[in-house]
Parts: sequence; structure tokens; C-alpha cells
Amino acid sequence: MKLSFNTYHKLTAILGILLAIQLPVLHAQDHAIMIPEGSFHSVLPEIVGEPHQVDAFKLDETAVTNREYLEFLKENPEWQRSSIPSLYAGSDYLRHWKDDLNPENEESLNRPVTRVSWFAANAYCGWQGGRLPSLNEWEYAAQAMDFDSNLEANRFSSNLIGWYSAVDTKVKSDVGSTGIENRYGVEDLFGLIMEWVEDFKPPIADDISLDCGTVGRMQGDASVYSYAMSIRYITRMSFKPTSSTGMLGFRCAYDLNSNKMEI
Amino acid sequence: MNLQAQTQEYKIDGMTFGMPEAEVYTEDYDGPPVVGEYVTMLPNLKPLDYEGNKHHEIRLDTFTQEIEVADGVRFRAWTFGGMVPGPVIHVKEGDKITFTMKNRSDEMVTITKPGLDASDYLDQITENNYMDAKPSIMPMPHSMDFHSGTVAKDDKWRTIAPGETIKFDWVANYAGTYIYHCGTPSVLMHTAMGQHGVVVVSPKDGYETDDRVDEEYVVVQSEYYLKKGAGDLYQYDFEGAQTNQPSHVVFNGHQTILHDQPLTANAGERVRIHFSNNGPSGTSSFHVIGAIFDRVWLEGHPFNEMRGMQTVLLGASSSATIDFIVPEEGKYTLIDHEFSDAEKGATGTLKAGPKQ
Amino acid sequence: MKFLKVTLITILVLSATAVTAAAQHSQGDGHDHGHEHDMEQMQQLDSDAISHSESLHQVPTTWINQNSDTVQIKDFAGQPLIVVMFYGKCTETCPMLIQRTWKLYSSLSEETQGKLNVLAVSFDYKNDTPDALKEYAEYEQLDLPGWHFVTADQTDIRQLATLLGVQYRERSDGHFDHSNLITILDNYGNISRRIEGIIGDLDEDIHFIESLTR
Repeated sequence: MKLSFNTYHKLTAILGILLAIQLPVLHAQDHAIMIPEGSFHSVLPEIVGEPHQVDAFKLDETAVTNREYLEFLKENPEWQRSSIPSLYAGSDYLRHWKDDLNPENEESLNRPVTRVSWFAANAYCGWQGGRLPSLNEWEYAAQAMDFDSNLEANRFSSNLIGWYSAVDTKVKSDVGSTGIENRYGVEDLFGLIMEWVEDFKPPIADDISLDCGTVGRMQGDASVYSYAMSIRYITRMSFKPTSSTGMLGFRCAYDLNSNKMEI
Repeated sequence: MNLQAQTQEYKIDGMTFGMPEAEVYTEDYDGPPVVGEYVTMLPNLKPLDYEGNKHHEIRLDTFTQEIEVADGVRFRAWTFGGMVPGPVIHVKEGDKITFTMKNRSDEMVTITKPGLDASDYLDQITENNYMDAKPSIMPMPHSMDFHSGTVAKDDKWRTIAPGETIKFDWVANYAGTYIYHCGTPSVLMHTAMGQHGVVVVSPKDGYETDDRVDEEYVVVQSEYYLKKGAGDLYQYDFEGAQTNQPSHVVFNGHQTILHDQPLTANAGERVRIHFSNNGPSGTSSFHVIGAIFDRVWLEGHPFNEMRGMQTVLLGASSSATIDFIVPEEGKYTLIDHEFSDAEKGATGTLKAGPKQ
Repeated sequence: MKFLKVTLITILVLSATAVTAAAQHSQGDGHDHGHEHDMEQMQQLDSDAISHSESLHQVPTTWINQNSDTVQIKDFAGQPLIVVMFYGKCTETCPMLIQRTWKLYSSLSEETQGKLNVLAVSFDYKNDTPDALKEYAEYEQLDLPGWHFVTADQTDIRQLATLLGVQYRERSDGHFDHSNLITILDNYGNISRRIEGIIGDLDEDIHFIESLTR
């Protein structure tokens, strides 16, 4: 059977395109950092006084940027601002973008994407072959910071609380700009945005009912860090999955073994 | 929310309890952030000009504002209605209030738009923006706790995310001057950041001296815990708050406002002050230099009458309604006689003219 | 020679397509070209109203059940759907929750049973494969027509739980802390009743479901 030259090229092109579709998955894994297994002290411990064990996993080096989220929207138009169902996002979704496929401006491409609901963040991470980090995974990675002294650690936490009280949302910064890195090189877990996690409202949230006593309950080791941590927990627990704010973005996590299903 | 069907209204001793469950919803409201017929800016109190009881519809949205609290000291406060303390709400004992609040902490809200015509408060600020309030954004969860309301706190005082709105009813069952504040943890932080104010619930049968009162004002004491930030603005001083070391202790939210804009009266007049110590943590030994309090109703309840007090000791979230006679023309200083507070700003002036 | 090249290329193309299709399925690919066709099944709602609605028919996830069949929530348009979340290894509350679901289902008239389905979604995507779900269904004696024990991708499962208001968290021992909830979706896919917990009277809920099918 003789095939024409054109058909040969078409087939190659199709093959190339199909391979290219695989690329977002490969790209994501390149920028994810391996976080080894370990434990951390949570303000909501499963067992009081005991640290949480966390298995090894991979975490995005930086928060998801506007540039990256734009790619997601191009391939998944049902998540664009004008098509997204009210089931998945409120009217504030990407309200700061110029339109469906136009972030604020050129300079914003390397900034973390914000005003995205939990559903959008969850879908993006699924599209990348990963998922949102669990609350424990995120807090474990955040707590894996190296300080020269207790004094330095306290000062850091104290500044963090100041940041939680008045981040200047008019000052917009690129990912990587805070200069804050955890022990493994994960950037900007503080100082840039708050981040969605998979289970932002853990089962215990219903019992706590977010009252004045909540902060006291969370002061496990009475440290400044616990206090800052508790503000983060409380703020996250108050969100709804359709919420979005100008200070809320996300990054993705990946199992060490693929989470793809065999069909 | 697993509420039993106990939301049927019922009465005890003539007081009404059993309000319906609060509604939480999302709405694109971008109208006036403060709505209410008897809602004013400190130190003003709008007289109640109606017989019997009234059903009030009141809105106080919560949002961030950059404000001045002392000369050269500005910070991005969390507010109800745009100022610290928030607007004064005046109701009568027995009134029902339907209250709405949108969490607009992720929106730029301007409070100095002329002609908003929704409350005296907004008109008064537009004319007299003494905190030089400017819109700002800091998305946070918030809630409302009216001490003047008697309801289940996990229902009505519940926390809402930015963009959400809460709506609920409460009845002013008891007379007095009551703090309202944000109940979202850390309450110390939310209150210190500015989310507090007062409701004045006037007794249905009044106070004994009502027909002799010439001037009536509301004064609120509170603390700030601020330290210099990276730029021009100040920011929350966590350590100061934890160790009870305020940077400023003020009347009506600003270190010098009651000196720059003194209260006024004339010699021989009876002045009434509804005074509240909103804290969040301090106490106040309130005194007026040159005067003695003729009547003091603790917490503002007519039953709790004291006479001839020089100083009233008020804990955090305590209040008193105070009558005193202005003896002579001249100046009188309102002061928290705990001098470490006074020297941080807890003073004000009443300027008295000649006897009329 | 050219024939061989063509064959090789065709094989590569076909396998790449298969891999991509598999990947997109497991990533819960949302863009469903069949969307428009399914909308026609729901005569009373137009597509505009649907995108402004809270209907879970909009959830594009493809679930795999104990028979390795694929199932989407919108397949049940026009009928009520009982949804419950559990996991196979659970020995504490899930057995009671599943039995409660059975109690609810079996208390309905036969006619009503024939008019609705049960979607039981496992949290445990790692262990509760279709085969494991088949074993589980048989063990519980619930491998019945209309009962779907399903799995999907981690992010799909979490998305459904979030939509329903089910909280769950994997513990370090591989078990899950979770809330207990049976949800009833109406004919339009809206959450119309939530039955929390594992104890209590189901009479009102039974009447409610019966009323949905009239």
C-alpha cells in the first residue's frame, strides 16, 4: 500500500501533538520538590501532645502563577470566568483579570494566581496529575524552616502575625520574591499568599465552632509560631469551597507514586 | 448547623427570646456600608423620636480602612463601617433589630461618598473625616457579637468568609450601653485591629433626670497595640497585645480627637455621657477633672443607680451612663485616671461656656 | 519498507491516543463533548439555568463501579440519587452507615426502588479498586442493580466530598476520619436532603424520597 508524502507528515504531526499533550504533566513534575517523610507539631493534633507523621510527597516549588493557570484555562474552557458554574465559584472568581483569557497585565504573569475557588484549585492540580496538598502536608512543609536561633524563629513568627494583620495587596509580587524558602527549597510558603489545601476544613472543625477559646486551645507549645499557625488554621477553616480572595492562591502536591488509575 | 426547633419566639418577664436562625448568603451588594436611621458617628447620639417600640433595619459592613489614630500614626485597621470605634447604634429597650453585615474585607469600600443618604453616620464622616479614612483591602474572616443581643453565639455570632453576608434578628431586651465586636478568633487581634463599637439601648421608661439633660454624648475608650511597620504605616504589635502593653489608649479611636474637637456645654448644664470601655484588655478609672458624677447608672441600667462618684472603674466591655453638672465656665478633662493609660492618650476635653 | 513505517507510525499513534485518553479520564477531564446531548434529556431545565444552578449533574467526573462500568451523576438525570461516602477497610462507622443506606433504600416501595440509584463513593482510591469494591459489595450483600460502589481519581473524590459537605482525612495508619452523611439528590441533581449521622429515625426521609418519585 502506498501512502502519499502528505499523509506520512500528517500522521507524524498527530503523533507529535498527542505527545505534546502529555507535556503539562511532565512539566509539573520538574518543578516539584521532594519533601521527605517526617513529623511536625500541629495546633490541631490527632493525639494531644503527639506530632503528626507525614509520608514523603512532592510539592510545587512555587505557588501556581497566572501564566500557568492561563494554560489550564485554555485547555479547560469550562473553568473560564464566563463559563464556570456557580456550583464551583462565586462572582469574585478571577474578577481582577481583564477577561476570560487575559490576566491583569504582562507583569502579573509570574505572580501567584489569586481569586480562585477551592474547586478551581482542585481541578487544576488534578489536571496536572497531582492534587492539592493535605493540610498536614502543607503545614509540615511550612514548619520545615531552619533558623539560626530561637530568637530568630520568634522574630520571624512575630513578623508573620504582623503580615496576617495587614498585607499590602496593592504591592503585588512575583513568586519567589519573598526570599523565604523552607529547608528543601520550597518558596514563599509565607509572605505572599494564603494557600488552599485539600482538607481546609478538617473533621474537627465542626466541634470547634471557631470561638474565642479556639486560639487558646491551639496554643500547644505556647510559642509565637503556634499563634501564627492558629491564625492560619482559623482563616482557612472559615472559607467556603467557592470562596476566593485577592490573597488566596494555591500550589499542588504529587504522590511519589503516580495517582493515575489503571483502566 | 444542627439547631433544634427552638427558634419559636417566646416571652419571659416581658422580654422576647427565640430568634430565627441566622441566614448566611452571598450577594453582590456594593451599596452604602452603614444603613440605619439612628446610627451616628462618635460622639453623637441621635435622639429616639418615636413612641413605643420600633423594628430597625440596620447594616454595618465590615471592611479594612487605613486610618489615622494619632499624629503621624496610620495603620490598616479592620473596621465596622470604616472607623474605629464603629458607628453608634441607638435603640430603645424592647426594639427588634434586623441586622445585616457583609464581609467586604476583600473590597475597596469608600465611606466618604457624599449623598449616600443611608445613615447620619456616613453624612457625618463625609463632613468630618477626622481619621482621614482611606479604603484598603485585607481579606479575613469576620463575625459580629452584639453584647446587647441575647442569642446563641454559634448561630448569630458565626464567622463568615470574605464576600459572604450574614443576616439575623435580635431584640434589645435590656437597657444599657453595650459593646459590639468581632468574635472571630483571635478576638484579641480582631478587637485590637479595630472591630468594636457600642449600641446605646435607652430604657423604655427613661432615667430619672431625663428632662434635665442638656447635652448627651457617647465616649468609648479602647487600646491600640501598634508598632512601626516596614513602610510609613504602623502594624499590629502581637507581643504588645499578648503582654497587655498598648502603644495607645484613646477616647473615640483617636489620641487627640477629643482635644481637637472638644465636647461642649455651658456652666449650670447637666451633661450625660454614655461611657464604654471597649478594651480589648485594659480597665478604665474614668473621671472628669473638675466635676463629680451626680448620677452613675452602671452598665446604663436605670436600676443600677449610684450617686456622687468621683471615678467609675470599668473592666473590659463594661460601661456606665453618667450625669454630671458643669459647675463653671472653663475646661474639664475627661480622663482614665490610670495614668499609664492617660499618658498614652486616654484623655479628652469638655469646653464649657458661660451660664446661660 | 514504507508499509512497515506506516504500520509502526499507526501503532504509535493509536497507543499514544490510548494513553492520552486514559490519562485524561483519570485526571477527570472536564470537557465533555457529550454535554450538549445529555442536556436534551433534561427537558425542564435549559443549559443556561443549569450553569447557574447548584445541580451536581454538572460534575463531569467519570466514576468506575464494582463491575468496571463507567458512571456519571448526570446519567441519573430525571431520577433521585442516594449518595453516600465510605471506605472498604472501615470497621467503625461505615458498616453502620452503609446499613443505614440499605435500610433507607429497602424501606421504599419496590416501585420507588426501581426509580432510583445508589452511588456509594469510596474515599480510599488506593485500595478500593473496582475488584475490591466488587468483593465489598458482595460481602455486604449489596451487589444489586442500581447500587454503584465507585472509585475515581483522588481529586474527583475530594471534589464530590466538598460539594456534599463531607469532611474526611486520611490518618497515618491508612484509615480515614470522616463525617457520616447520606445525601439525596433530586431529579435535577440538586442536593435536596442531607441525613447526618448513623442513628435516628428515617421515617421522614423515606416519605421525602417517595414524594420525589411521584
